[in-house]
Amino acid sequence: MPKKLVAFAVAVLLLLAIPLNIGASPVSNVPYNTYDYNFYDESIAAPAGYVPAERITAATIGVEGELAQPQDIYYDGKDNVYLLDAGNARVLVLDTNLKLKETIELMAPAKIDMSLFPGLTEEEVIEAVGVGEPTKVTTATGVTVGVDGRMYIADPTGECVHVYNADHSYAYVITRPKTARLGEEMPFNASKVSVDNRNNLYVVAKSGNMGAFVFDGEGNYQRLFGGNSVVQTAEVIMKYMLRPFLTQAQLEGMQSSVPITIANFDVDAEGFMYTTTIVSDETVVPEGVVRKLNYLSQDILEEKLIFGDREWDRQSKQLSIITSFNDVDIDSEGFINLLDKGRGRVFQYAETGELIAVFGGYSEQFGGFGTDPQAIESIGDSVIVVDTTKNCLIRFDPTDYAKQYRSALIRLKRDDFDGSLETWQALLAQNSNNANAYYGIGRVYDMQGDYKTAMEYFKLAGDRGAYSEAFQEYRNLTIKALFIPIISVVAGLLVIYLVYKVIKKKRGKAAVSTVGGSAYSKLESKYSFPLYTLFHPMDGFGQLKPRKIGSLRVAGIILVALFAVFTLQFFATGYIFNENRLSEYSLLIMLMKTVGVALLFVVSNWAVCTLFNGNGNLKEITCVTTYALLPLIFAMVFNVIMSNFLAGSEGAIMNIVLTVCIVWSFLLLLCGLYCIHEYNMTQTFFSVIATVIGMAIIVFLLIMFTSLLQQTWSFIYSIVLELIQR
Amino acid sequence: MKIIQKHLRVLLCMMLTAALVLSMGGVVSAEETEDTTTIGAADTESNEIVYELVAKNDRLALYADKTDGYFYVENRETGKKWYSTPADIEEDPYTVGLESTNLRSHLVVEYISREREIWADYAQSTNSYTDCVEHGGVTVTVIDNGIRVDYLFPILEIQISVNYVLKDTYLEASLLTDAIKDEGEYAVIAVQLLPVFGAGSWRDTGYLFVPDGSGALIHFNNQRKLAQNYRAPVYGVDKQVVAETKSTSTEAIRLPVFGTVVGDEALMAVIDQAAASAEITAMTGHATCGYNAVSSIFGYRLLTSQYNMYNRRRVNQMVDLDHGTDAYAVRYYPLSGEDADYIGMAGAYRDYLIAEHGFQKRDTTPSFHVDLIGAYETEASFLGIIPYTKKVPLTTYEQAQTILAGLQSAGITKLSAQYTGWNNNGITNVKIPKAATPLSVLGGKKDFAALTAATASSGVTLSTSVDLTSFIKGGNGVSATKHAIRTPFGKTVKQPQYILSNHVTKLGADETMYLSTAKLTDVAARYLESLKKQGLTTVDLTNIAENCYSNYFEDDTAHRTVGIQNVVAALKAYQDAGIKVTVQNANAYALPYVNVVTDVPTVSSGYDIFDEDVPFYQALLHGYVPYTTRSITQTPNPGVTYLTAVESGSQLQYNAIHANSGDLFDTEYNYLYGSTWTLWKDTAAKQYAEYQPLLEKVHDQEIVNHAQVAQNVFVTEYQNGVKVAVNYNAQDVVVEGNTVPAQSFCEWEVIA
Repeated sequence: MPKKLVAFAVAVLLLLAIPLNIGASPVSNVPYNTYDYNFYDESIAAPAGYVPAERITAATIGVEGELAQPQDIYYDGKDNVYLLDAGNARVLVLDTNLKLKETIELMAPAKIDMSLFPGLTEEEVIEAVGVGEPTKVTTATGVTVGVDGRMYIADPTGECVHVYNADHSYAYVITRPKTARLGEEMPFNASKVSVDNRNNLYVVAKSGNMGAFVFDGEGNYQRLFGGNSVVQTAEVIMKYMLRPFLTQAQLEGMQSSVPITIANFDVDAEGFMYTTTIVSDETVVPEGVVRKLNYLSQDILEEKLIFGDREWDRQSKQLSIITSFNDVDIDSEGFINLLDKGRGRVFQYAETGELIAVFGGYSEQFGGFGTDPQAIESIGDSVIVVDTTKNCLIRFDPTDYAKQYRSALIRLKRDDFDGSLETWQALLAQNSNNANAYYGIGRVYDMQGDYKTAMEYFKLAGDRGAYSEAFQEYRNLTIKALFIPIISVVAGLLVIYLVYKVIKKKRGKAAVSTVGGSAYSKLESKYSFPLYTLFHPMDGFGQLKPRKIGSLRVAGIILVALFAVFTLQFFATGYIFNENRLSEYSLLIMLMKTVGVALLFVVSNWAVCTLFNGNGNLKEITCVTTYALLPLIFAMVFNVIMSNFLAGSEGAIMNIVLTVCIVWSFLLLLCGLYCIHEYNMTQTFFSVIATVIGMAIIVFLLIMFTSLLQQTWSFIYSIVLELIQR
Repeated sequence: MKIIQKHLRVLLCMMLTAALVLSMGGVVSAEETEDTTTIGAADTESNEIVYELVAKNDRLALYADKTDGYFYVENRETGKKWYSTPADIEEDPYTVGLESTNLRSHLVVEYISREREIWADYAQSTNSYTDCVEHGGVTVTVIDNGIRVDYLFPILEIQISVNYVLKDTYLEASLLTDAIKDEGEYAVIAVQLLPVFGAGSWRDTGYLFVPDGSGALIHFNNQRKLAQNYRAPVYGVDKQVVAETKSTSTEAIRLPVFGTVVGDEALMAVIDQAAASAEITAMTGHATCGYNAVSSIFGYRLLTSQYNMYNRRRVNQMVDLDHGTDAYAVRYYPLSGEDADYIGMAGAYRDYLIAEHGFQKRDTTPSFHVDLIGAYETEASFLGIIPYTKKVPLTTYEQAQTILAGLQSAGITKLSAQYTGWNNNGITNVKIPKAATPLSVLGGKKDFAALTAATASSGVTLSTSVDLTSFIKGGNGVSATKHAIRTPFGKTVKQPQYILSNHVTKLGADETMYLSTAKLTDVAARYLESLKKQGLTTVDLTNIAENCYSNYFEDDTAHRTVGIQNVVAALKAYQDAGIKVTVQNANAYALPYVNVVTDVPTVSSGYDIFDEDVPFYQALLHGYVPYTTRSITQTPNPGVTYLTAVESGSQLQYNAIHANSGDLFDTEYNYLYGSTWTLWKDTAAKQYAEYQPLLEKVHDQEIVNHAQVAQNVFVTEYQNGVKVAVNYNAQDVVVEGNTVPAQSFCEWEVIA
């Protein structure tokens, strides 16, 4: 047969293997909340992505009786679904419509208790007493099937993996591997199994905390896989130094030292292994809970992806987040389905981290699970959850919304923008809160070179990075377009200025001589004095005391300016650098942050320096403190303006300016205090430290006072309430 | 010989023990069944049930046992006997444990010890067989057309009396609330009345009907052993109960009716008196339960609890209730033949509503409903310095005209509009509104007048919406301390909002209070005057008939059975004033006084024990009162909601705002994510073009049949012979020779 024909035949076969569409469900309402996360990590309402479509029981499958604690499900990607009906000691082989094809009884040879026969090998015992009656395997929790048709059954109670041949006959058993990495007391309670496309078997043991055990096609132990790859540098060096002195076994035992408990795994079409990790004692789901591992056990998933729920559960007894993934499934299109044991939910993500749907939950309703959903598998875009408590499977089907969302994301990933604008807009029509749709539309406009529109959409999507890039392009274009006019205007202004200067020079020669420049001219006005101190701090502040040129009014103006500038920064900083949520602005907090802190410093410094023989009075301290803030105020104004013209990568300029000005302000403050208190530099420095401590004490006292006041108030209130209600 | 006897005895004992153990474990074989039966037989020999004729009329006859009060009702047309407790109970091979004595009972009583009131986490339960019949505590007195049965529970010192009286078409069971005697240590909390009346056995085929949401069926012996029995309060959970968390969404019972269908016979029950104090419960047959039964529970007292902050425990309180009636009455209607299904029950219940409550046919002209949303309030501040409350318009009066005209030019010619948030505080009812006055931010009086004039000339019915029951703050003559409902602990009820992801309450979010129904009367009257002044003849009273609650605040104390009367009076006042009233998802008591019901669910809660959802509520209303679906774009699966609308004969409803819903992203109104009218206009126009012609044909017709004819294919039949098949599948199907396209519907007429 020509190669092309073979390929065609394979394609046709594959097409046939794609599950028949089982039919939309008449579910128009769901028992669970359907939500998405906004970019403040708050849950907001969203249309349902997946709806429960069918409850699959023994009756719908076509077997007698009931399912008994179904534990795991495995779809081979072609035409067989293997359902581990553990309590009934069998695996049901189903077609993709989840109808029975055949039943495999799980029988295993009787286990020989070798401790009864000391000194004998297993073969000798078998020869002597025979193999005994095979027994039912009722405690299995994991099933998988290799490319060669071999079926692997994980049995944590039996501490082994049973291997069955393609013809369902018993092949062999995999027991505890002889490796130093598995501690003596640690049981080999194999709970889940998976096979990659090179026919390697991966086994997760419940108490193992160093990753999965890997066995080759013959059941020989190979290595550990998927342990945490993060190893401290010092440890690496230590190991390198010790290496010559260690035995092989010891070396093996040292490989990775950070324990990690893999909960479950799944192998995607390309052979990458996705794992979920059990986390505890975390207030938020950390990064790296879901990993995509290559053959070398390196996580190749995009960094900083957070999966699961993000809102802290105030009422939970523990302080930890409840999300805990006990199964992962990668569907045929590469989407990640995660089964959250904490709240009995399924989260579906794109590989790049976009949340597509959240569905399921614990409830006594169709679409809700019992206490312990164990496994998740996908057939096409349907998701099947194994509900061990309710003894059934629930099939969830995507809604039109989720179907469109998925296909739009696939095309975005492939940079296929042809007609995707319509898809994204259709999505927005159904859910105007979908940030990724705004992003998608932004990308389309970005590709078309319409950067201004793209920026608008990236802003709606809350994606500052993409916005910044589009902004940069837009700015370049604008500058290019305006280059000649701008240059001409600047040149024109320059010419005018020069001409003006020449004229002025000619006319003003006499005037200069009459006034006679004085170095202190700026000191003569209390309004311009602060500007003089900017560049002549010692000189300027030195004059403050003798000439009494400090002004509380000027200080007041500066404080108001400080407050105004902070407010301006909150509202008017360019979008790229402004992560403030406008609704979170609070006048009181802003006042406390600016004027409050400044005044607190003044009061505290006055108190401290009165104690330590400082000569400055309250007015002088106020003047010095406020005048010293000027560089900071200028820097912030400069930054607010610049932030509207700079792209994200250029933000460093603003940081530099701000840092320089803060240092400048601090130096001014030191100089000023030095002058007015007539300290030496060491004294000044320590007085500042004492002032900060003083500030802390004042705040503490204030808090004490308010809480006391509050308690008194609530006491009075409750007495009044008591009197009223009695 | 003796030795053999001894051995035999031991053997027998062992067998019996084994049988008991095995049957308790749920494994039953034929042999063991025999054993259990003999044990039962020994018990019953002493008190064999003797049914004697007590009363009869043209259609029904009542037979009763004058020692223990057991009875049956015979449908004289068909001969079907409806037993108060199953007649074949001795043959039941499945039921074990407490259930088996419940099957022999007329009453299941929940009670607590008065001494343990504060710490009793839940009520204890007993039944009339174990604690009453077994102790000879039953007294039967023959009364007019029936019997009075006094059930004395000697150990608990409780006496409960029930009258069973035969009427024309039904048997009425009245639990006499005044005759409940429980002055001893134990106090009655609730009484389940006739828990197994008309129960279907493991041999029968049939189903139970429960009115959850639109209605749901529980097929006999569906083997859902792991599913909990159904139990839900009539008219929903009382608003004075505040949940700590909210993780699932459920539908409520809106109609106090339930029933059993066995083969060609049905027994429908209607709770006639004190329905708001009732719960409906149902159990299904499985490995350890031989019978399928649905019944009602009368909540005689309230056992409620409050979290005590100081010792971190829940503290209970038992509250005596005034149910506003001297009897908790349930009517049982035997139905047969064509009427013996849920559609037949809907018809029978409608007849009941017409005869007893003045339910009547309204103008059913079908139209497309659009729920316009006016403005919302938000906290704003001038440059972050001066805080103020700002109203943000989403649809001004002028834009409302644009939307209505736009929809009409898109082909949606027959339109009805509600207008939410058109006055007062906008969408969220911060204060109970004072008057029906237009908002200046939406265009003021002038624009509003233009809108009403435009709708009048274009034939659009415009009902302005108002919420008279829930509020956030006192004001407009309503005081939060005086007029908001309170719990028995004296705390003002504040229903919180819940976080979607982790289900706990949202801190700092608005909390909803509810207006005491006594004050509601005043407020409703005041608003009615204002409506009249504005010259408005239609109104959308939104949740007035959906929110059902009690109040336990001193003199204002009114259990919701009493509160309902105030609501009904208010609705009646609007009707009498000639105002056409629209309400949401109405409870049964409001139905006689409304012209349109919106937001009617097309689904049930989907509890595990349920097998299918049925459009019972819709079958009740169709041809009498027009009803709409929930706003389609806001349902989780809009395409399917449309199909369920067709299946249930509902009119379509969409939310509409003129603004871009995306602008609401960072507000609490971001749930309006699909409401911008331009985005759904085309879909809606297509649906209207497809569906309106069908509605035109059937809008004044009763639904006479509804059935699932194939997987995910449903046929609804109307009085005039029009049949509609709805196909939810992804492939076309053929029904009675008509091709029903995938995810679509097809109609045809049967010429009688």
